[in-house]
Parts: sequence; C-alpha cells; structure tokens
Amino acid sequence: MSDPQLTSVNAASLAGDNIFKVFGPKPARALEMAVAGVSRDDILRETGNTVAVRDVSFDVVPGETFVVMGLSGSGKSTLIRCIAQLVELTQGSVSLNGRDLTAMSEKELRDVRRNNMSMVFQHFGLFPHRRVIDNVAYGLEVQGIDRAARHKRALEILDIVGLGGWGDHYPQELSGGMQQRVGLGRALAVEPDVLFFDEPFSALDPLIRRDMQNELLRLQADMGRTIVFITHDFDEAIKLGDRIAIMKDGEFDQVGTAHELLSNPATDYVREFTEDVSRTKVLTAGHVARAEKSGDPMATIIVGAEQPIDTILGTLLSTDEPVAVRGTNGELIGVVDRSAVIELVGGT
Amino acid sequence: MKRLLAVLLAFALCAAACGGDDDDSSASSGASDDKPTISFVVNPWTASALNVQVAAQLVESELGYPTDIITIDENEAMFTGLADGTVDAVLEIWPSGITETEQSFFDDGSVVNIGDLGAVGKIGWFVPQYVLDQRPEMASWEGLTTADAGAYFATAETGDRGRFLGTDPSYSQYDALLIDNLDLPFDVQFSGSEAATVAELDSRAAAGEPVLMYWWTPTAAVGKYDLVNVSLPAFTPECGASGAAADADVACDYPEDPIFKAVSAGLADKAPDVQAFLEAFTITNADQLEMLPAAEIDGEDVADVAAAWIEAHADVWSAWVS
Amino acid sequence: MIERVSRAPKWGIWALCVAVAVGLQVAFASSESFPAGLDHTFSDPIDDFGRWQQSARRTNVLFTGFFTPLSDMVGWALDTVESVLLWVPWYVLPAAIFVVVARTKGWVVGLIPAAVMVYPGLVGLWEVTIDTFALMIISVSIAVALGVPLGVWGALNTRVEKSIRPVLDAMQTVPAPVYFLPMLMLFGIGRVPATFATVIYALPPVVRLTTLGIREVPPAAVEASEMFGATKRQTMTRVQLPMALPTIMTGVSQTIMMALGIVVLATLLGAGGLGQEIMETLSQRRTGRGFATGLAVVAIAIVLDRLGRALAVTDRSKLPGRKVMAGAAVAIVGLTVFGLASGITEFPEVWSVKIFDPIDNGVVWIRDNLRWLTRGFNDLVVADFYVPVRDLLTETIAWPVLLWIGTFVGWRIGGVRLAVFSLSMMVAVGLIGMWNQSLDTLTQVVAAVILSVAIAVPVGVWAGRNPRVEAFLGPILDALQTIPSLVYIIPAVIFFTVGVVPGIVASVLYAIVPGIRITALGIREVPAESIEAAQLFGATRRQTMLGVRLPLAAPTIMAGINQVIMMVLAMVIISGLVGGGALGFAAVSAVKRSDLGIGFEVGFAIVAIAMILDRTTAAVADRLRPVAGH
Ligand SMILES: Nc1ncnc2c1ncn2[C@@H]1O[C@H](COP(=O)(O)OP(=O)(O)OP(=O)(O)O)[C@@H](O)[C@H]1O
Ligand SMILES: [Mg+2]
Repeated sequence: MSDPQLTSVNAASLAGDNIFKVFGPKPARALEMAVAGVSRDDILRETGNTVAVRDVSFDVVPGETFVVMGLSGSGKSTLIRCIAQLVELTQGSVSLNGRDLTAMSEKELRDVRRNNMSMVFQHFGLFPHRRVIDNVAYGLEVQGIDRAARHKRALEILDIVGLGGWGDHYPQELSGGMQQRVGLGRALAVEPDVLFFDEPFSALDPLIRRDMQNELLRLQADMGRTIVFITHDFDEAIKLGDRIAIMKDGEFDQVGTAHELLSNPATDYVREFTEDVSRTKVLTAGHVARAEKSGDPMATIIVGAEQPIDTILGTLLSTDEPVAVRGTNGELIGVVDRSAVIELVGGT
Repeated sequence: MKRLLAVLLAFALCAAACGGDDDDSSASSGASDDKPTISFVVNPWTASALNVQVAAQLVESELGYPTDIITIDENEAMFTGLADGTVDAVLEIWPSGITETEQSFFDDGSVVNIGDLGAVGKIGWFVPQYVLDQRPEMASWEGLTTADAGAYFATAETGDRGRFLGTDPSYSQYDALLIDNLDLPFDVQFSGSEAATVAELDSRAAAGEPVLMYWWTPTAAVGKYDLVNVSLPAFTPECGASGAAADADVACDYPEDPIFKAVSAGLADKAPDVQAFLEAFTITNADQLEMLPAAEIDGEDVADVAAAWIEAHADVWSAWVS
Repeated sequence: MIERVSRAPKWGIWALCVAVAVGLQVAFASSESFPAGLDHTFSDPIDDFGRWQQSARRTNVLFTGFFTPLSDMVGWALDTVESVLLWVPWYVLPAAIFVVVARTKGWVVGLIPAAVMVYPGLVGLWEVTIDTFALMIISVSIAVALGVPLGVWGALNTRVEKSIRPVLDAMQTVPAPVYFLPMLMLFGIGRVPATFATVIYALPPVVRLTTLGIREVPPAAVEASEMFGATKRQTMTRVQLPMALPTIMTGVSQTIMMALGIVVLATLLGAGGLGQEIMETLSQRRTGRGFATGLAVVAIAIVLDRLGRALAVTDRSKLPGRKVMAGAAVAIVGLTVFGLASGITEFPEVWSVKIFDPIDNGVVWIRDNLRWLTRGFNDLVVADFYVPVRDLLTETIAWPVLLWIGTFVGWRIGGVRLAVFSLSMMVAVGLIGMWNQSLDTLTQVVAAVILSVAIAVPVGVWAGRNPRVEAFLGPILDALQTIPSLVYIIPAVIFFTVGVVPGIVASVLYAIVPGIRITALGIREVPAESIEAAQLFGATRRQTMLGVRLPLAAPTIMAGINQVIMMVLAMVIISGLVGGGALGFAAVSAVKRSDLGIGFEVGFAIVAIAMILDRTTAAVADRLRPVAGH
C-alpha cells in the first residue's frame, strides 16, 4: 500500500432494480408497451419514443469491477447516467449502500455525489478554461475546500496518475491519453466509493489505451473501489471486469464472468459477441486444467492457475509433456497439455 | 493585497485633495459644489446655441453655478422636460410654433414665460438673389402662380411642378397649406434636417440653380447666400396663421416672432439669482447677427464665439448680473 | 448527389395569378388608395396616453416611485463617469486603457487602443468624446448586465427563449426613433433616455449570443460538473459561463457596434456628445470636421471593443504578476497626482479638427467639377426608376392587385404560412393608413438593395477568392460600419441633391458591408473537392465559377442578401433626415414633433416591411439550400 490516499475502506455496494428509461414525448405509453414486452423498434414506430434502457437489474458488490458492454446505441451510456442520476429514471430504482438514490432530494443527491461517487467521461468532459490542477481540484472546489488544501490534494493526485509537473498546463496542451489521466485524476481526487467510467478509453489509440487499462488495474489493485465500467470492447471488458454484463437493445442479455460468457453464452447474441474473442486471452490455465491421468508423464514445469493461456503458450510449445497447474496456495489443480490448447485455439 | 489597496486609496484621496487646490484653469472653476447645476436647452439652430452659450458662460463665471446644455428639438418633450425640472431654461421660443399642448404647460404654470429675448425672428419663403436677377417677378408670391414658375423650380422628383424645400419637421411651418390655399404649382419636399437644407442650398447656389425654400432670420445664411424673403399676402391677426396649428384656410405670411424666454417653474426656488439674471438677459437681432457669421460661416466653435461677444460687451451684460 | 428542391415553374398557376391580377386591376382601377379603416384607431389612444403621462410624471407613483428614481440613478452614473474622466489628467485614460489591455494581451496590442484613444484629443474633440464615451460605457454595461442573464435564462429555458426571440427581432427592426418617444416620456430628455434607447437598440446581440454560447457548451462538461456535486449556480459560474465567454464576447462586440450606431440619432433625445457635434458640424457643411468627428466615434468603438476582449480573458496563468500590476496601478495614480498637481487636465490643443478641413475643399471640387456625373446619376435614378415605380405602385396599380400578388408570391415561395403572414401584414399596414408611404419606402429600399447586391456580390466573390483583397477591404468595411452615416450622407446631398438618392447611397454604403462579408464567406466555404472535381472534368475558370462556386455558395449569398435588406431598412430613418421622405421622414418627424401615435404607426409599417422581406428571403435561401436526397 504505497499510496495511503487510495485505500479501499470505502468501497460501496451498488444495486439497480428494474431500471427503465424512455426518451421521447410520451414515455408513459411507451413504458407500458416496454413492460408488456413490445420490441424497441415497434415502440419507436408507434409512439416515437426510444426505450433506451429496459428492465435492467444488477448487484455490484463492494470492490467489484462491473463492466457493461454492448454495441453502439444499446443503451450503455443511458444506463450509467441512470445509475449516476444524471438522467431521471422512467421507472425502477438505484441504491448505493442500500440508500435509494432515486428517492433522494436534490441536496441529498448532491451530497452523495460530492462524497461517494464520481465519473470519468468518454470524451473526457474536461474544462478547457481551467488549468489541469484546477480541473483535478474541481470536485473539491465545489465542496468549498479552500484553495491551498485542494491544490495540495490535486498535486498528490497528479503524481498518482502520472502527471506530476503538468498542473499549470491547460488540457488542450496535453495529448489525449494525458487528458484522460486528468479526467481520471479529477474523479479520484474526491475519494469516491463508486467510480463510473463511460467508455473512458475508446477515444484513445490502442497503445495508449492499453497503458491506461494497465494504469487503472494498478490503481484499482491499491484502492479496490467499486467500479462500473462501460465499454464496447470485449477485450477491455475481459481485462478489467470481474463480471461483465452484455447489453442489447437496452436489456442485459447475460451477466457473468468472462469464462461463463465464453463457455456458456445465454443467447445467440452473446455467442456472436464472444466468438471473435481470443480464448487464450480469456481462459486461464486453471480453466483448461484437467485432472492428472495415470498415463501422464511426470509434469516438471509448473504454471499458476490464474495465468491466461496465451502467457503459457511458449512453455507448452517447448515441451511435449503436460504442464502442472498450481493454485494460489500452491495446491496442484491439474495439468494442461498441448492438445487441450490446440482444441481451444482451433475452436475459435 | 489589502495593504496595496490601502496605499492606492491613500494616493487617490491625496490626489483628490491636491487636485482641488490647483484646479483654477477650467471653465467651471467659479462653480462651487453646493450650487445646483443649471440646465439650458439648445434647439437645433445656431442662434439658439449662441444665446445659450452667452447665458451659460455668464451663469458660470458671474453667478457661480455649474451649467449643463442639452440639445433637443423645440417640441412637447422639451416642454415636459421644463415642466418636471429636468432642464431649467430655454431662451428661444418662437411664438408661432407653439402647439395647443405646449401652451397648456404655460397655462398650468409648470413652465413660465419670463419675457422677450429681444431678438425678433421672421420665418418666411426665401430665394437667392440670382433667382430674382433672372425672374424679378418672383420677389412676390404672385410671381409664383404660373405653371412656368413651377417648372422653373422643378426637380427630377417633382416632375413639372416646382419644389418647395422644407427643412426640419419640428420647426413651425404651414407651407403646404399656403401652397394649397394660394393655388401654387409647388410640392413641399422636406429635407429632414437643417444640415441637409444647408447642403442643398450650398450645392444649388454653387451652380446658380434656382431654389425656393423655407428659411428664417436672423441667420448668417441669409447674408452668405444673399437670400431674399419672398413676400406673401400680409399677415393679419385674422388670417389664421396663429401658432403652429394654422387654420386650414391660412393664406398669409408668417407673423413676426418676438422670441421669448421660458424657465421651469421650479427655477425661482432653485436659483433665484439665475432666474433674475435670465429675466434680464437680452439678445437682439444685432447681437445675433454679430455672432452668427463667425459660427455659421467661419465654422468657429459657438462657445468661442459667445466668449468673444461676452468679452466685447461687458457693458451690456453687467446690468444683467447686478 | 445534390438535388435542388425544384419546382419547375408551373405556367398554369402563374397564368392564373396574372389573370386574377388583371381582373382585380380592372375591377378596382378607379378606386382610391387603400381604405385606411383603422387610421387613428391605435394612434389616438396612444396619443391620449402620451398626454396622460405628461401630467402623471409628477404625481403618478409609477413615475415618482420607479422611473424617476431609475432615471436619477442612471443620470448619476453618467455624471460620475464623465466627471471623473474629465477630472483626471487627459493621459490617464489612455494609460489605463493600455494597462487593462496590455495586462492580458501584451503591450503591443495594448498600445493600439491607447493610441486610438488619444486621437479625439489630438483633433480637439476630447470633451465631447468623453461625453459619448461615458454614455457608451454606461449603456453597454447596462446592456451586458441585462443581456447576459437574459441570455442565460433563455439558454436554460426553451420557453423563455421562444418568447424572448420575437421581442429581440422586433427590437432590431423597429426604427430606433419609434421608441425614442416612449423613452422621452418615461425618462425625460437628455442622456438618460438616450442611455435606455441605446440599451434597447444594442441589447439583442448579447442576449442571442449568450444563449447560443451557453447552449454550445459541451454537455459532457456540464454533466461532469453536475457529477461532482456542483450546484446549478456553481456549474453556471464555473463551467458554462466561462466556456461560453468567447461567444458572449462576440455578442458584446456586436452590442458595442450597435450602441455606437445610434450616437447620431440619439441627439433627437438630447444626448449631446459626438452625435450633436456631428449634427452641428454638418449644419455648417464642415464635411472634414464631420469626418474627423465620425472617426472619434470609430475610435470609441475600437477602444471599447478591445477593452471588452481584454477584460474577458480569464486565463490567469498568462497574466503578469501582481507586482507588475501593482506597479502599473501606482504609476497611474502617480501620473494622476502629478497631472493634477501641475494643472494638466485638459487635452493640449495639438492639431484641432481643422486638419481635416482639406476634405472640405475636396467636397467643393467634386461639387463644382463632377456635377454632371453626380446630378446625372441622381436624375437618372429619380426620374427613370424611383418616380415611375413609386407612381406605378401607389397610383396605377390598384391596391387589391398588390395584395394579391404579395400573397401569391408568398405562397409560391414560402407556402401557406408565408402567404397568410404577408397578407395580414399588408392589410394591417393599409388599415392604419400607411399604405402609400410604405410603398414609397419600399421603392427606395428596392433601389438600394439592387444597387447593394450589384456591388456586394461581385466584390464579395472577388474577396472570397483572393485573401489579399479581403484583408485590404477589412478595415474599410469596419469603418463603413461604425462611422456615423450622416458624415458621408450630407456631402452626398451636396453632390446629388435633397431627395431619395443620398439616402439610397448611404444605405448602399452601409449595407454592402455584410453583403460583401457573407458572400466572401460563402465562396470561401465551397468545398475544395467540388472545385477540384470540376477542374478534373476540364471546366474553365468561368465554368467553375458559374457552375460550381456560385451555386454552392448561393444559400450563403442569399443569407447575405437578407442581411443587406435588413441593413437598408435600418437606414430608412437616416434617409428621412436628407429628404428621403416616406416612412423615414414620418418617423423622424414623429419624434421631433412628439407625435407618439404616428410614431407607432410608422414603426409598425417598417417592421411589417422588414418581416415580410426577411421571411421571404429566408424562404428563398431555404429553397436554394442543397438537400441530400432522402
Ligand atoms: N437524450 C436523449 N434523447 C433521446 N434519445 C436518446 C437520448 N440519449 C440517448 N438516446 C437514445 O437512446 C438509445 C441509447 O443511447 P446510448 O447513448 O445510451 O447508447 P450507447 O450504448 O451509449 O451508445 P454508444 O456506444 O454509441 O455511446 C439510442 O437509440 C439513442 O438514440
Ligand atoms: Mg455511450
């Protein structure tokens, strides 16, 4: 725990209950139809309303990274805005640590926002007229914290997100990746219990994106916050998410770990989604390990159960023998041999 | 930061204090702070500006009041301003121009007539002398009755009828009625402003082109362009040319206008000495004609022209201030 | 693929139109002008109100409790600003302007407005300029103080915006003298009513652009602020307003220009200052001095604009340190003290206005030598266009025919809505007795628009294709837009003669400015690919211009023409001051004679003409706009 400022003591639980969101002139009628199960297109045609989120429920446990993924227009942004109360729910409720956000007064909600949650935006949502340091300090500023204190805190945060020394610049003077670090720093500065990310890295190029993902993993390892993360990139979802929800036409098709989605897709849509995913990245040695058989040659090489397959490919290719898989406590889980992996790769 | 402000403030205060002592060059030097500002109305013609300049400069230097000058047309708004004390005095009211509503301000006592200015104005129809050189009969309105006379003054806009050049709609005038009632082949075209009329006169005179226009005396232009008053049927008290709202059948010349001064009813309390001064204040046609050419022809600043007059006529105005 | 909303002329329909017109003409040939059934219906009660307020001013609580104190307050502010500026040594104002501008823009940029501020002093116009400067500072401040919150409110609330917009439109088209009278009634005479009239005239741009600026703030930034628990007010002051600031400042600049635009007209209210100076100078036919005075107005425009821009910079990091600023402040105070102590307050006489007197000789030369040209042009326009068209419209053609044609054209161009609108406006104008005067004004407007377009479009095309030409024209166009038009319109009277032509010439000079600018913009914005495509197919330059550039720029050019029309209409009043007659003269005369009822009728007629022409040209522009095939 090198960063005492980012401890995990505050992680919160978050739950959504039958959330509906309808955009348009006559939401009541559209809601009725949506509840009755009429399709999104039909509702749009008949009433002119868009059902952006339809009957979504979820439970996020403290410290979990919950990823929502889906194609463009599937309602991801709308959902996260519903959760963050940036748009009003048409029906349903959201609760944070058991407190119903939808029932709160404006002032209560403001307090929750100031103290318990914050968000990182797809197009950064930075304030171009403020210096980086004042962007990062914004959340503290609106809470009325004095200038010296909030700048001190902002400087610490800038160090944490790797922007030490950039405080006096304006956001436009920074590259895209650095700008999103500012966005991240701004969100972290208020020490939220829950962090919302709306496709934070999709505007960045692949290399920078990977950097940022690693950065987030690193921070999360330290702070262990509750995170809701939106993405349309399944690889990103796998990399970051403890659990992943696949969203289609405003609904959750399936919620589960990467392995569950891959090995057990609930709908054709999920299957299509997971088909192109490189299984060797998702599946770990633990996933493909089989029990040792009596005829097996003696396994001399040992790998960890949590290691993704693609990281042990080299090892497997270098030997004809099966490789032993050990759990985190050193117990033997089973063995992996080349044929299992060939089957896996061929199946993709 | 606060200390800096304090220093600045101290500087400013000191500056104000020091400044007060040495400030004796400006025109308003005689004006002490506790005396109210006297506001004069200037109407949009030069003579009015000159009268007011003379009065205002004397009120400042001799009576010690700060003054203020507002230029506005001679209209109901001006009378309203006098009535509510926004302005205190107007020195050139032409009786022929007073409307019914304007008269009501005198009747209810909110505006007070404080006597004649001394100058007597005369509105009328004017032509340059070179017109008479060609057409001597046009010295009188009878010379304007023929279609040929109309054609002589015609412009592209009036076709074969003559153009009668009107000026500012706020001036007192009934030329259209006169033309109708005297059955003259003319149409009135308003220039819209004194500036435009003078420009037109200048242009016509330079080319020796005929022009028949509304104008008045005393003005410098009469001398400069050698303007001659065209005689109209003589004015009689019965001929219907009383006030701005002339009768529909008016068919006679404009009356002579003994110009008078008026003040806001409140002035007597506000500054009795100014009221007394203005009552005594007199400017004659001769005085105006002494000042007008410098301002209207040589283009000197009216304030300078008035100052020169004051300089030269201490004997005249010293009686007003005692 | 670009497809024009094409409605091939359906000859049948037009033939029907002509037939009906001929029928109406025959039926109504002998009828008088439009029966003014509602003449006096509106103007009389308004006149009565005017009379009522004259007595109410001193007793009614609305005046004693509200308007009079308000008027006193503004009067006090004007006096204070003016007397402070005249009390300090003259060089303090330029120095302060330099410090304020240099603080955010660097000292080179700061020198320009400071030097410009010295100009009026050099030509001996210091005091009158300060007079107008004070009036402008107060008016623009009030306009901004009212306009920004109003614009913010409009941005936050669509319904508010919808109800403000027509009011702003009206404020921009109603000729200023029309509301001069109510101002005189509410606030008396002098600089206070002039201040309020200026505020009304100058308010629309700052409101509009504030609304636009706030709306344009990326929603993500607003959401982010909200997400951090900012209150609405915090979001507004810390995020939305600062981010909208550049747009708001554009509005403020325009507001400043507008405010300076009625400096001369405000003399009708007794505003004094430079406007008065211009009127008097021109009565003396001192064209050169008028010009010099006009340039002082331009100087104020430049100074206020730069001040506004400098104050709007919020980028603190780029500012000089506190010590520098404190030093500058001390220096200014020191200069003040020094000047006061040594008795330097008034501007030393350096050149006086007389240095511009050679212009007078130029005017005389043109008057005496180019008369054949100027008078020839005048008589051509008057005798061969203005008089015949005016007589055709007001005498030959029966009024029902004009109603019919106006409605029909409205229908063909803008559909039923425009037809109904045009018809009802025309009928209203006729009923209040403004029919003939409106047609007279319309004739002049059409002449000015034709001339303006004939100049603006070719020049605009040229400027659009040649950046050097555009750069060269820039300052000239700026000056044309800010210098009070009377400055050049009075010499125009000398050259052309009293009548409609000087007004038309002045309108053209004023209206070509947006015409050239917008045309150049349209030409420049034609996508390079379209041009290249045409060239690839071997089109000549001429073919490229006629076949690609002009058609693609047509909607923008049409928008420019729309602006030209609005500018020409704005000049109708000025033409009333130089013999243009008709509505312009009626408006001037209404103010000068305190004739509230007529003022109202004239104002209505001008607004009606403006709205019909505006909507018609907007509809034409819409139809020219290329639409992607559906
Ligand atoms: N403010 C709004 N008004 C009306 N419709 C909206 C609004 N916001 C979103 N929608 C509609 O709701 C649906 C879901 O939009 P949403 O932005 O939530 O999708 P998304 O999954 O975030 O897509 P993307 O990946 O492109 O960001 C879309 O059909 C969109 O058009
Ligand atoms: Mg989205």
